[in-house]
Amino acid sequence: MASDTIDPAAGDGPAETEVTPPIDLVPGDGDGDTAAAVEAAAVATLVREDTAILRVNDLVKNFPVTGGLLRRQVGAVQAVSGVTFSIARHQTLGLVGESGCGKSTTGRLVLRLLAATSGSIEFDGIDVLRASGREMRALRRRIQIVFQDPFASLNPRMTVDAIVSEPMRIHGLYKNGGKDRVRELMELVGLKPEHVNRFPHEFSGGQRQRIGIARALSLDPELLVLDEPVSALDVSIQAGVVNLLEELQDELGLAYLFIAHDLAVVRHISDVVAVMYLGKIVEMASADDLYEHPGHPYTQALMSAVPVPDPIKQRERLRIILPGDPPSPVDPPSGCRFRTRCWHRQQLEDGGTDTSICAEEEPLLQIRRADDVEHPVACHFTRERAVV
Amino acid sequence: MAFGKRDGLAVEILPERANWAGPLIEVRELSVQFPTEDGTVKAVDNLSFEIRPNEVLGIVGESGSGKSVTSLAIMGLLPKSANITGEILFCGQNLLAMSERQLQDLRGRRLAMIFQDSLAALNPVYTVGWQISEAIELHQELDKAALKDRVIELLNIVGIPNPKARADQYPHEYSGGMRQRAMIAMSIANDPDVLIADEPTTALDVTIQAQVLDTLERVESKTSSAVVLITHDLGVVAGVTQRVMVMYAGRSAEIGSVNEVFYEPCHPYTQGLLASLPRIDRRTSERLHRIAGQPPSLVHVPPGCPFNPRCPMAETPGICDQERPPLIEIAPHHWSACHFAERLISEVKDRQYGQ
Amino acid sequence: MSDIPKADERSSVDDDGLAIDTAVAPDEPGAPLAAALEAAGLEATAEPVPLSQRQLFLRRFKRHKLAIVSLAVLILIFVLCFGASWFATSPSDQRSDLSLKNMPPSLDHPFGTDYNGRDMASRVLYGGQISLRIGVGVAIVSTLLGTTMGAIAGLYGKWIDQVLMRITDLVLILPAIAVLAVAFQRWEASPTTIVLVLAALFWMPIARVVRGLTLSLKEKEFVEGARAAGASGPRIILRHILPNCIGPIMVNLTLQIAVAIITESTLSFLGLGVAKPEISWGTLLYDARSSYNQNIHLILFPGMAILLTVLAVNALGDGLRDALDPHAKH
Repeated sequence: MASDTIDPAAGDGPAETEVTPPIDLVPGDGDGDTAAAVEAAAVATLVREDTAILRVNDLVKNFPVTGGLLRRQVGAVQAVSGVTFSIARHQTLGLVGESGCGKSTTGRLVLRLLAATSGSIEFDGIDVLRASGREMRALRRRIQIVFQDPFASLNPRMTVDAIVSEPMRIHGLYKNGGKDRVRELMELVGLKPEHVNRFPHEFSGGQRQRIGIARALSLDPELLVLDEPVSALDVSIQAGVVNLLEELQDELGLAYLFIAHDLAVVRHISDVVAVMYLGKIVEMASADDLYEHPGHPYTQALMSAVPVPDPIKQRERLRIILPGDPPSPVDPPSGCRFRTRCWHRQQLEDGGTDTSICAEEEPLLQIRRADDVEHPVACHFTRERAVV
Repeated sequence: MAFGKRDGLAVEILPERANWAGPLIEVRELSVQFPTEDGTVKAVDNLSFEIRPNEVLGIVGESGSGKSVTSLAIMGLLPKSANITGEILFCGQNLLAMSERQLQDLRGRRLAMIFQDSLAALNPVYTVGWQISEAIELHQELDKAALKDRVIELLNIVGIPNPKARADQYPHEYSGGMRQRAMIAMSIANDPDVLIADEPTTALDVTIQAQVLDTLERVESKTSSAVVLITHDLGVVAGVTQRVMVMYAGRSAEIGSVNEVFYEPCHPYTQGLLASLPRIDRRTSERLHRIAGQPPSLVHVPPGCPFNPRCPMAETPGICDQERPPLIEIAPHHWSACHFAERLISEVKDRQYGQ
Repeated sequence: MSDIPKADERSSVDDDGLAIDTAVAPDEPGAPLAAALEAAGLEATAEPVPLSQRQLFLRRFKRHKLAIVSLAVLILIFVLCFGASWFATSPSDQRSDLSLKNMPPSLDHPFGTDYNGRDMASRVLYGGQISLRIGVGVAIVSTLLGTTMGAIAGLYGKWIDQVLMRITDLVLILPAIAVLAVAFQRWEASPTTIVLVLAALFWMPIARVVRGLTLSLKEKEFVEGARAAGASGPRIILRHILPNCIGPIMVNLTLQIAVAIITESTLSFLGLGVAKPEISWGTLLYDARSSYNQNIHLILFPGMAILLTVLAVNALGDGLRDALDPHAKH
């Protein structure tokens, strides 16, 4: 049994007795007063602007909710609500969160598979959201995607050759040595080139993921968006695919946007990690820094919930149980979106601190002077807590 | 109020839990085969293990390991096309020899099961309290007051706050994690001897998963049911279970206490599995350790030891592809099905004491 | 690679129970290759089974005995009808011989003779040419039309979808007889006119099916992947959506043949068929409409031809559906 469990629903957990005022903010760069500018400055401390291949600023995506007789818009699902991050060349940004946090939507927005509501996405200096049709076509060669489901991501009626070569055919690049390129790609991902005339159903899950990776690489992209690429694979197969991704990154100099809910895999493969909750990034740091010094209560709860395959350690760890479900993205809480489930706020309240700021003011992703937390956190009462 | 009450036939022929010493369930040489258009799928192949009273047993395996089929065999829920041999002794009586009627008597009363998609199993038009009491009334006679008390007691056990008020609420008023807890409450309503949880957390978000695991722990401590947790997630197993059985290709590869299996693994598959897991609590290493190859086809199982094509220490051609390794006890209550288990265990212990 | 034991493909337990997710058995690659792959940290890959989708389809189809028999019967019918010139007299060459009027089946005339003394067997065979042509023609044209409409509606959605679906609803209301009657006034009552009119009235069911399939397919990740690679709408429809609709399309095609033949026969029986001197099974029925009491053979043989063809086509359609999509619950 866990020795240390914080479960606000059960009304237990140690109450904090000291009164903790809101954390001092690091003064801004003077870039401007807007929230987006503040967050961009914070992100820039992790990824320098001159090394960034992708810069996302204040990205918003709302899905309209229609209702009533005339089918007019009555509300919006705020899937992504002002997300700011950057990815450095040849590096991996891990984007983690639970279902409904908006990470998959973010990935698709970067590729412009979905139209953004507002914000900006800059790839190598090019404005992705305002690119023309022709510019977009050129961009499609430089940013590619690998999907989660090895069964649904390959057209069951097409041979592997057709699948891997399709991007090349679309861009008219197949005539000159396309066939050789396909064989080369198959070898690159560890599959036998002789199998190009087979169909997806003849391969196992891990092999199909490799085919998907080969397809994504066929146009020699610079950035790969990976949407849960190993989640659907058996554990013993995951390691192989993860290793492959790392090798390819080294060999080909790729940048990755690695979207996943598996925190262990993300720690292993990422250079920088961003944690999302209900459409917002709540914390961002270099991988080791985030896992060793998490500052946001949600990050801490998330990490404490991930079981570690080490019996003694797992039973002695601090465990934080979050009550209930995440609120609906149609009507998110005011101020800090996490406040309705925030165990930290509960403790502060019990200890006498006034936490009304949590409901009134939305915490920005900023560097706050708190303990050992030197990376951007979106919490008014940031406090470090080691949970792994 | 309960429709089709069971008449307690099978329950009568079984001794009460308190009167039974020894393992609750003994699976002996269980084999399950399915005919398919591609051949015969050997889902479970000569499997033997036991479930002890009031313990938490974890059955770990990847897809195709046979773990789910095993649990369905115990519950008698396999389709008619399944070809089942061997014995499953429940308090000494062979479940495989019982009639469907006797099995229905047992299900819910002595043997309970929760599934991965339990959420869909809650009826939206009845209150949660009503549904739990219905589960109770199928097998027991209680007056209204006692029934209500029992329902509240069950909601308490699974950790639902304000059980009195919550009992009168409908499923849609519950959060996802609470619905899962309500399902668990329904399954333990009649104080079963064995509760089988088949991948109860697999499709869930990790924070909800934590709630469900917490609930299972509460069940284990506050009731005397044995819990069998079937999963592919080694982290889940490490935190909740006391004993672990690792399955591969329909057979058991290793059985032991959770500490033994995690700290002193003596089967190459277990070792490979543990080594290939990325860790949330360790700095990133260069590359992940990996197990070569693919999970095996259950129609054409490799000869000898099914793991031999992927095993780093396999002797092929040799004993590993000719003889099926028997499950041998290499330490008290620690079994391994590997021809080189003895060598592995001494290596592991050397490493430990060497540090 | 011939001495490597034949590994099997993913097996799944259909219909009866659990889907057991098995993968392929690892092969024994040549040692140097395996060693090289291992050294590079890559997986020694397994040997997937060589059963192509076509082979799978054939295997499943062969299990449907009725469908195979039906296929044989249909081939026979087609050969007899379109090869009629080899053993029957063309209607235009037939002469009236009232001495042979309305004779029951005999050795000389296996199907008997009609009211003009003409050989019924020849007439049935030649009539089959028109009936079958109309049947197949309607099926092909309506399927092409319906598939296109459905795919466009499903993929592009929004107002295109609305417009196309409303057109579908409108066409459903039109009665075939009335439209055909009007069409015959404007154009000649030729098989071509009939094919076009009927096709224009029969494309809706397949359009709806394809639209539904398109809606679900376009959310699939392989379609997203194609969009991410820059594929255009038409390319997505042709390369990704339609090949995955082959099953329902083929089945619909065969069933349309049956529907078209019956419709044509019915319309002909009501006098709205092909104009003389063309004959079809339906017009033969029309000719026999007043004398079927005494001369059953005049209705029997054309009717049997229609019945046999329609049954065979339906059974074939069943077999195709099972073979193409064995997991569909029906």
